[in-house]
Amino acid sequence: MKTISLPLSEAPVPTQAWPAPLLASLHRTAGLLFGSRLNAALTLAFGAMLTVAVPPMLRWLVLDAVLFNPDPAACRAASGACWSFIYAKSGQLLFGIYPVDERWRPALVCLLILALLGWSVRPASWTPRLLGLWIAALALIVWLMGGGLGFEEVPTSAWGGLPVTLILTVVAIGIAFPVGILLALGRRSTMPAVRIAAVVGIESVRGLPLLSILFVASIMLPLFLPEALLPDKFVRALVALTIFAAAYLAEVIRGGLQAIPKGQYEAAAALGLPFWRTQYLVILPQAIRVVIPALANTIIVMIKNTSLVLVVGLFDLISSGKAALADPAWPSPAAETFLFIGAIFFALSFSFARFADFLERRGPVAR
Amino acid sequence: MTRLTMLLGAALAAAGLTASVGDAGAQSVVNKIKQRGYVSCGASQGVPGLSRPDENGYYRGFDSDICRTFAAAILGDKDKIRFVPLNAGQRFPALQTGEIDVLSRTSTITLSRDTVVRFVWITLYDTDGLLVRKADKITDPKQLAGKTVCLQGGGSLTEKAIEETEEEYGITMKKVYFDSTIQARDAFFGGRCDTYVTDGTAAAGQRASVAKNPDDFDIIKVGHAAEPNGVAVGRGDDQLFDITRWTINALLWAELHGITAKNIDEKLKSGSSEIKRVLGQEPGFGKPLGLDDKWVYNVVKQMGNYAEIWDNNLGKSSPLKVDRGLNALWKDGGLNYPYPWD
Amino acid sequence: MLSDARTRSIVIQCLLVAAVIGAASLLVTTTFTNLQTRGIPIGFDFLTMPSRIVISEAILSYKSRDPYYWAIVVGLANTVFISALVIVFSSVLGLIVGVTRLSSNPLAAGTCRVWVEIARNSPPIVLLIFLYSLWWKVLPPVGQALNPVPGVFASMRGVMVPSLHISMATAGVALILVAGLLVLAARLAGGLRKFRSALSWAAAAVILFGLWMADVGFSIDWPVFAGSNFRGGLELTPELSTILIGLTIYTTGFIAEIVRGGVLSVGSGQLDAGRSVGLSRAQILRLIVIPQMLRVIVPPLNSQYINVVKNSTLAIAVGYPDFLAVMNTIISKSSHSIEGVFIILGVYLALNLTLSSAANWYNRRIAIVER
Repeated sequence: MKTISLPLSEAPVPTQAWPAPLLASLHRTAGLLFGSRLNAALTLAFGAMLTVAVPPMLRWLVLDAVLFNPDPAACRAASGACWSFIYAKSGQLLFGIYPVDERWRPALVCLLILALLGWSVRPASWTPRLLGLWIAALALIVWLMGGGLGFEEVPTSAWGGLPVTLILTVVAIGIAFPVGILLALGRRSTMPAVRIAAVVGIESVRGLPLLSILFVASIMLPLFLPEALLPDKFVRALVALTIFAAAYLAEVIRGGLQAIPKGQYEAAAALGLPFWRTQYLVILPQAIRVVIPALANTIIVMIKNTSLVLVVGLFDLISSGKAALADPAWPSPAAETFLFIGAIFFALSFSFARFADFLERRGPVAR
Repeated sequence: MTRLTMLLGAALAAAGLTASVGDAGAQSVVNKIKQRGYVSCGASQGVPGLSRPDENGYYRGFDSDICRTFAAAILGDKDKIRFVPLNAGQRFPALQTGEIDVLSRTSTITLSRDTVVRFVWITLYDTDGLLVRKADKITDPKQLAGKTVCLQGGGSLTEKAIEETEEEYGITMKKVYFDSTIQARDAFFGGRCDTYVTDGTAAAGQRASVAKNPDDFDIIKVGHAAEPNGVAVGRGDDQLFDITRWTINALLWAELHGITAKNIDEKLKSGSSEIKRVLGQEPGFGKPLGLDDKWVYNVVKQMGNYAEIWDNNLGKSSPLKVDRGLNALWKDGGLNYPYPWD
Repeated sequence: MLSDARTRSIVIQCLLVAAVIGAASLLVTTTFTNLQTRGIPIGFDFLTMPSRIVISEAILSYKSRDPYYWAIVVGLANTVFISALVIVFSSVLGLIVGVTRLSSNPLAAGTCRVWVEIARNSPPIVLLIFLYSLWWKVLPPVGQALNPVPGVFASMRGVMVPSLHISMATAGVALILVAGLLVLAARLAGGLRKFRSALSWAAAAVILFGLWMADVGFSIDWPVFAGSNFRGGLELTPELSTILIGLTIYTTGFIAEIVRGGVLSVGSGQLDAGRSVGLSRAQILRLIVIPQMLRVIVPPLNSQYINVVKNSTLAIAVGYPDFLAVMNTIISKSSHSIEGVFIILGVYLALNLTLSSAANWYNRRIAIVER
């Protein structure tokens, strides 16, 4: 039967598998752009908007911009963006106040994390070994960043820029995931004490802005904890981010657990599987599979959240950008700097979103 | 019933355990510093001439160098120090909670502040300055009527200076508050405001090193508030209070006696008996403070005297060229008067 | 002993409770020891003292002589104000962008897709700082303010718009009259739906017109350029504008996706069914698509609204005094940091739990229909 659809149809369906002749494809495009009164109006409206907005943006971004000339005077003279500033200050932007002679270490750390992430998205490498690899890599990262054992020691207060953002993101989400699973299971537990503890924990964290949690962790924690148990500022921010991420992930995973039919539990019980093995072998793989899109969204929000640590005085990308802008020799190209920083975050989040799409399309998770 | 008793028993046991751990927390800050091996010092997020991280994260400025003298006194090494950047709102909580040991960051001594932290000494007598563009041709505070002023919120005294000016001349200004003095400064230089108010010394610093062209700007003194800026420590630790106070005294005393980082070794040989004693020739000199006998020697040898710290950061060897004014020794017409070492 | 499930569950719960109580008592004892050794006073009596802090812009009137508790209320009002505005703006824009993304028009759909991707993949704080740095790039100095429509001026000092001055008495009378009329209209029979809304609009118009004719404390104040700044009118400062625009752009991206998912969740069979019983396009939208879409989009929409309240704390990055920024100032001025933190956490928890329980209630109301 012929389906009738509103102009609110889904994305256009690819019509033919063979290349259409040019005229036909032009005709189709024209049809899409001016096919109906609504479409014509939309085309005109958006066309006008883009005509007004795009050329000046292009001029500023590329045509009138200073691209590679490392001379501040050139930037003062140009009417466009000053990209050479980013180029000239790249070391400071990416690594903040890390000692200059040691900058190869954070650079190596960034490469290592990105390479590991790239390696981890291949389904072929999903084995228990991968976890061991990550833990070994993290130990190596801590040694590279912090020094000791033959390297110059660098306190966490001097860690800066991209490695801080990457480490916070990877470690916070990596630890938050298992914690989130435990919290989700706790919230569905039959034991009242466990359930109440999980509910109170999850709901109170979810009801608070991350900034206020970070504020408490960075400023107030020394009052609440004895000196012996007090981690440094970097670890505190990391713990705050982890707790925050775990509460959100727990809720998403709980949604997935609720979607699992009772029969699955009964089948596992019939096989005589104990609780944890039931969860690990039967329930969790299915539950997580159901909520991949929601999980991806939450994780992207968490990647972006690491940018908030600037408020508590950690030297992440934004802080190092601000520090670089304070150089009186340059004309403070703030917009360009924050575009650059935004682009780094965009690249991280966007590639993760594509990875999640791929997981969704891939079908059942191999174990 | 049995379940309840079990629960209660477990809870009580846990509470008892932790209470015994919690009591061990109180120890002196100086001992903590010695164990840790560095002094944790509260700094600003970047005020040129006072405390500002350079390209490599090394804090430069008068306030930062004053803090380094404490590291030299307590640990014998000026570089055993870590700076924590704080905005106006975070500085006192950070000191109260023990996040930092010492606060040396353009903080004016006031009654309400001195009852929650402990101010040690006035390190800098300052005024409030208003940065204006020469192009606006503002010569008389009356002309500020209706102008926009950028300033740092968070309860700094510059707010009071603006209020006083408004009352005195019967004008009102549009105030735009920022979380940090850096945001306020950038907004002013960006054109958001007509004027920018901050401590006079800081204003000179911003003009000399942040303005693209320092000659385009003037500084007008506003308000009658003296801004006695001081170093503060947390309450409840007399030892740290004594050390910081007498370290600053040592800087002024060294200037009074013409002792500099360069000539200190000669002075040690040729100086009076007092100089020899204070520079550590008399056994037991550092004992009342729990320090090494040669602590004053370490401070002056590594950091120089008050005049040297001033000149390097604010005075003639710096781009700011701020006049010593009230910060000179009493014999040069200033207010600085060291205590005797008896 | 441990093989028995019941015993095991009791043991686990005992351990958990012990751990929680232990941690809590550790925190409390440490805090009190620290408070004592550092001589930090504790108590809420400072709230009634004059605050002597300054709040750069506020919805409610505020003077620095006012007590601390009033400063807290003023900061909270600011947070509620920006959250409410952003929620309204981004809901409307999100609906438009979300539906446009489904359009078959590649130009329109593509532009909206770019918006959504940028909003969803960039940190809001970077977005805000970036927009704030654009103010001085894009807008002219105050002397050469843009004047797109009469009475509206845009410059790097902010946007000036004419403001409406209504005296309190007039506003009160008008409100009561309008409310009365609305109640009256609502009591009319449902069949008169169109008539009902027309009637209430007409009534409101008549009232406003009558007030204007009678000149009862109702005037428009136009901004005028005087010397170096504008006088009169209502000023939208760059800080307020940045936080509103930035958060709206950000939240719209998320809401657009939710709307798109909601529309797609209504199967095409439903539309065919509507067609086959002879409903018009508008009726299909109103009677079939929107009710079913609402069921799908309300829960995620609610969590977005709560996120707006949480994201409003980012105002601190551009210098707008929201609740958290004001609390920061209060903590630094009064040095009552512990009480301050309790107030911060308590207020946000109360605010968000209220929001989410209201949302859950509404959700239950529309979810009654069995699918």
